[in-house]
Amino acid sequence: MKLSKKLVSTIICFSVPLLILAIPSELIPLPELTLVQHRIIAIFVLAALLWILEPVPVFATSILIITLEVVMVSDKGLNFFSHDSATTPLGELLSYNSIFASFSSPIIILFMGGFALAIAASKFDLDTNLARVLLKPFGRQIHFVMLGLMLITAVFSMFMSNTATTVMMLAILGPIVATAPVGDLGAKGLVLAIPIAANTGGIATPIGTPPNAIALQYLPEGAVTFAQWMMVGLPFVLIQLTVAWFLLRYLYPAKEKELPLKLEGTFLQTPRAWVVYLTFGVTILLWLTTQLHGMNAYVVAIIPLAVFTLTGVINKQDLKLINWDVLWLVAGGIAMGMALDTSGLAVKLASSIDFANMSTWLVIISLSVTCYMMANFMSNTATANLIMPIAAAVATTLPVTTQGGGITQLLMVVAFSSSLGMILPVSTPPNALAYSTGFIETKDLLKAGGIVGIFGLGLLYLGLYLFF
Amino acid sequence: MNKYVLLCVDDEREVLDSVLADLDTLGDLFDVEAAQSVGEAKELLAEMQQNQQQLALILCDHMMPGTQGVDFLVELNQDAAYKAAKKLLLTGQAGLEATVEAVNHGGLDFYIAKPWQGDELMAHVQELLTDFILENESDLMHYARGLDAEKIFSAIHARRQSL
Repeated sequence: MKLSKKLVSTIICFSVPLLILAIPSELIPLPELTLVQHRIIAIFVLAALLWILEPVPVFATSILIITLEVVMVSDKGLNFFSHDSATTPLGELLSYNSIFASFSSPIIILFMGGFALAIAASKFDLDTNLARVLLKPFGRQIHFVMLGLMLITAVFSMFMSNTATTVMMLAILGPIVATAPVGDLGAKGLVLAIPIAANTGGIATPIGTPPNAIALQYLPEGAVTFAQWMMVGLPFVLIQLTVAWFLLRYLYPAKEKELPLKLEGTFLQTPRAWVVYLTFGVTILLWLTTQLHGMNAYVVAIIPLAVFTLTGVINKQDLKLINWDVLWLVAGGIAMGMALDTSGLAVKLASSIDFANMSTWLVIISLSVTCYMMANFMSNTATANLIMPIAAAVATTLPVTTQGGGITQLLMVVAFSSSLGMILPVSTPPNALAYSTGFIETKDLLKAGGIVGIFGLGLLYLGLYLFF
Repeated sequence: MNKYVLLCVDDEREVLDSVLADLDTLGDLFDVEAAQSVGEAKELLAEMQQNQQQLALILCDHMMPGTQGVDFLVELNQDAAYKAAKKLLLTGQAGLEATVEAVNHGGLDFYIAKPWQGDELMAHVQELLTDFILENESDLMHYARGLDAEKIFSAIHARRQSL
């Protein structure tokens, strides 16, 4: 049963793109379509279907994209694919170098730096100890404990992966709520608070979650610095968290008024532990002060990796803990976007729909809502991989209404929207983790996650309206 | 249907019923099965294999008509499919020799003498199941409530980077 469903979705995923390849290029309603562009459409459709239906892991799809691109549309691809057909010109083949370069994109290094910080922090228990110390001032009153949990989860997910943060926070909260009776509302609220805060917190920094970095990839070099992103992201996150806090208190009133968390823990004092503390602090500081020293976020990101591997903080085993699946997922998206962009297909697609007659607002809202909907049902990163190249192309066709161009706003809105999708256990890894504890049900996520997400969309539009 | 099964074997129906009552709350996370003889237990094991379920823990009496409990545990311990399962002896009549055999060759994890206390039995079973889950399962979160939450969460925490 399970296998056959997988088989059916695999067949769908591959037959539709094959069908697209089979139809003559003239029949596709895009002007002067080349063979290369035609094939890229098929690859894009394949990627979209594989990412949506997920018959294979999302990172496998990414690797497939890169493979198909170098074989089918690159200058060192299969001979069979490098000739004009009788009726259609081949178009310009992509350089295989630049397709492979998607895995060494600055974005990938940025994430590696982030992973290095997270691995080092967790190896030396910096994350847990810091979380415990920061939780102490929130006392024992259940509402404030929840507020503390949410704020700390959000702050950590700005610099570590949302998933790792959720695991850490659930591990702190878990033993206490595990004693609560089944269906206890207060316990539900607390457990829900963590994935919501983790999903939300990721929005605040470029390295908080992959969709943000993907947005940066499509922006002109230096258009948004780390600090500039945070100046928009942080207030947004704070408002969202406040709303979520009140919402959870209202939806899940606790019977118990106090919640004694166990918060002992001592910071390690070994030289290596100090290397971790200092590097962590300095890296974040460097990220925030690009104007002072000129190094952008990507360049800064490789510094902790160098420091940690040199000092033995991250050894050979630890290096394997880097989330290679996330890196490949992002790289596949970059390769996809690069192909759409360099082949001229993205602009062709964007201009074939008459955006000029649509109001800018309609464009922004339709892109962000599409993104939000997709992110609820599939990987946020895969969503961003699919929507971002299209949004970037669309942005170039929009009438420029503000100085600096609408592209920055549009791509940031799309990135934010993809992090707001959290109504189901499958929406994000933090949701799935919280769901697997058995404390919360799908309907809890639907309700709380739904309200927070929709409110977030509204807040985005309001922010755009007021400030841009 | 749950992924893992708890199997209780005792020839006396009343003992079996009372053990099942003591372990009632584990029913959310595990399938709890009861057999009145080793023969019946083997049938249940065959059925489990068909359903692709795994034995997590067996709680077994010793003195039973037909195959005796310790011999059954030794047999299970030699089978790769059941080696990982936690093995408890719940008995009043296992002699020194049988007990030594169970420890040395039956992979015995725990010995409870009859008569037993319901809450103590539950606590020991929970502890053994927690160990089993930590050794054999990757989705720990699911088992945190119902078993030793503190131990499970600290394992989740220790494994957090490899997620």
